Amino acid sequence: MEIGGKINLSVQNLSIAFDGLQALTAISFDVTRGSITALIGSNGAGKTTIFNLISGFLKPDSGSVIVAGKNLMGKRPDLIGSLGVGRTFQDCKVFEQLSVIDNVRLGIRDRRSETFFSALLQSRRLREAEKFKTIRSLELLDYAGLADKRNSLACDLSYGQRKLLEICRVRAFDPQVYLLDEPFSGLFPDMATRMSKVIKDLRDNEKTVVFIEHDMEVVRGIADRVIVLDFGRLIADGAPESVFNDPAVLEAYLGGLVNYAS
Amino acid sequence: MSERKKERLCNMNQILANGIVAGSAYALIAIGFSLIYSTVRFFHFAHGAVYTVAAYVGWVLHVSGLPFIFCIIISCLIASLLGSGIYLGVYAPLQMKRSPQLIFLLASFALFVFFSGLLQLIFGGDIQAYKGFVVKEGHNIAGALVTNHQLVIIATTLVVTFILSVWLSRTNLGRAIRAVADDPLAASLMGVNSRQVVSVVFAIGSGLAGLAGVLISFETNLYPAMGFDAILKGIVAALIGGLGNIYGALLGGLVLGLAENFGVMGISAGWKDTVAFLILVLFLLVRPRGMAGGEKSQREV
Amino acid sequence: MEYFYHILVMAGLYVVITTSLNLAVGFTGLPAMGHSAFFLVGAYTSALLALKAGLSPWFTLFLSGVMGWSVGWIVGILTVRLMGDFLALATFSFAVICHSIANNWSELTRGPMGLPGIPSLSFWNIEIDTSLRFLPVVVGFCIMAVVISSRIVSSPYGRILQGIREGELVVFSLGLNVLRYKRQIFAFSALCVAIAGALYAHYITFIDPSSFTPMESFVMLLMVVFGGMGSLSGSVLGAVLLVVIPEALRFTGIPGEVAAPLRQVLYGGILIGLVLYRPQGLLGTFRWK
Repeated sequence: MEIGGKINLSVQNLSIAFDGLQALTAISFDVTRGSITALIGSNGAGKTTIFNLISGFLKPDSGSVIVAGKNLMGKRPDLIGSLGVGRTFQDCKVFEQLSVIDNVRLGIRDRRSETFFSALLQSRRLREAEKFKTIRSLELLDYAGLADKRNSLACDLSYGQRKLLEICRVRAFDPQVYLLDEPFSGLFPDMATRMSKVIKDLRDNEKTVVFIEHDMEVVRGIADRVIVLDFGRLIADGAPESVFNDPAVLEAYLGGLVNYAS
Repeated sequence: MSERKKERLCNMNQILANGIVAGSAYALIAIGFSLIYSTVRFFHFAHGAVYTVAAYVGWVLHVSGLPFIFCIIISCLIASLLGSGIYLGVYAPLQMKRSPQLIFLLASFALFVFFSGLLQLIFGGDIQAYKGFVVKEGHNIAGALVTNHQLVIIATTLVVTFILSVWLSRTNLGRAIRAVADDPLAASLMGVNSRQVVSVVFAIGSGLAGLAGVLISFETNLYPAMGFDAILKGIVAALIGGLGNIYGALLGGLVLGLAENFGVMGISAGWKDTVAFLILVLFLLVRPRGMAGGEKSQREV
Repeated sequence: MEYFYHILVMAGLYVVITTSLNLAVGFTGLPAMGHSAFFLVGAYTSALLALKAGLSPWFTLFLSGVMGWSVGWIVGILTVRLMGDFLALATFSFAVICHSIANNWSELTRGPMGLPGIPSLSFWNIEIDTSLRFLPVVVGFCIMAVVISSRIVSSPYGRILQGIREGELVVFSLGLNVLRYKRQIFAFSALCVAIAGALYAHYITFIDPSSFTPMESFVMLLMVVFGGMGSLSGSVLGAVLLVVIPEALRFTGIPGEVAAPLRQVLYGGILIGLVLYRPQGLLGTFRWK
């Protein structure tokens, strides 16, 4: 694990309980820039909860999260987003009644053009910002193979296309840290290949990627590092091969890693 | 005790009595509303319309000579049918289409407006009253005048609350209802037919609204907009006590009734509504989950 | 003929109301069930200031806008963080409270007796006291309302509002303070409705609480839904149709006591039908998934 300036995301001693049940216990790990980390564990192990904590949708009982030197704890989700954390959601949230290209445009942040008064004035600055957003959105859609659908409504897309759309949106947001919640679930092989390419490119561009996954083949294929959760505890953390041979991990999965596609 | 002190104590006791009576009435409305809310998770505003329809049905039956007890029974039945009809005819189809929350609110409101208007068309806007009963006899309890009928209201509310909560916790159907209220997905996975269960809930809740409608209108007379005041008070009471919580609804009703009556001591009774709504707004802002914490706190992400 | 102009004026006032309300309800998804309160606030503010402080109606019009925006801002701060149902209930309660205050605070508002003799607007010594003369005023405000609303809708700001409607959690995760946007648009719609209320006061020159019941919020919402949530042209159409048609029905000789409940039955029925079979209204673009 590299230390010093390369660590972009640092989770320290995160704990949270719901309704009397301890969902996470003292979770700690550091993630470096330009890496892909897989977060695995059985359902209910607490993976999405960690994402919710990092992105500010939940407040922990104790612990903290540091991104690019700033402590995120207790901050509102939008402030955390602005500090460079982007995410996708387990149930693939797209803006259903908006067009595909509007979905992506919403990812691009340009504060000055997004105020009430700039809307009233419709200045040239705003129009130029819009032009830029359109061009950039089309770029991203094209890369994901969705350019021809740009004017369709998001609710008309197939499941796999929606997942890709969600990725386009978060890429438009251009954060430092990407929290991808089951980006591969429900994808057919061709879409999955596209998704892999997107994620690897993020790493190559020095982004920090953490993704939740159930399919071990996928994990083996692209993850530099694997973190394993079991009932809210971190039971393994390291390179894929060593984690997959870790006795504690094997035991947690009852005598062998089950390769199940979601 | 000096005469003045006695008088003031009687007054206070009277206000207290009025508060309890009003509170019981509100609680009766709130219980049905709260029960329904726990299974559909939106404000079934049309509960007030069911209340009004039942009140008018009861009154019509009474005017045509039926003994009061039968008026009550038939009104309750009609209320149940109406309530479950509304669920099956309007809400359930909307649920199937996975409509956004706003749509349910609008539908609920529209149903209320529709039925209120219908009743006004049929019966006119004048106030109707139950006639032919002896001027209500009462008892003097510690200086407060309480009529027999008022005691009936209080008793009915208490009995209903008790029976309902026992029923919910002991019977299979009651358990199914709580399952659907708690976690609809898990309930359906366990084989509970959500649609049937919710229909029953609407039937029961609406029946209670009908009961409240007849009992209360006997005391406070009928006018087409009565459901409006009733449902709003019922909602406030349900919120105070915690949505989905039966005993909470009872508690909330009493708190509201007392607060209203004590709150307008010294100022004109026209402000009663305002007091009720200020309480509502206060609760919405400070404790949307009510006092008894009826709702499970979930964060859906 | 005068009556025809009157209908147009009323339609115009409602256009101002529906376009701004649509921004909050149809575009942002806020169940704002109590906008009759702002209509009331605008009307009474302008009327009282003109009557008691003797200020010029144009100035009081402006002040009622400020008042509407401020009250809307305060209500917004308190309510936008509430979830759907609770927001609806809170805003509706606010409408009830306002109506109750107008009815009961007789020292200020003369209660049910209302405020007569509200000065009309005037333009260069010409009193704007007929419907025909008021028409250009209303049309002017309509145009302003429509232009401003369409600018908002076609801008990134408008896109964000719609994003909030479609998925506010996502919008949060994209670095935007959803609550601030909600407050802003709520206050803006309150401002517009308040101005409409003030215009109404100086047009009719007599106001009493009965024109500002919480049920009026329902009518406003119906117009928005009927015309099409999320469609500005729909709002215009909805306002016009739902002002004109009931007035036209009057000519069929329906007696007064029947007219009001009949309106309720029709409006309630129409809304139920819309919601079940055509939630996108006339011109809206909502599509079932």
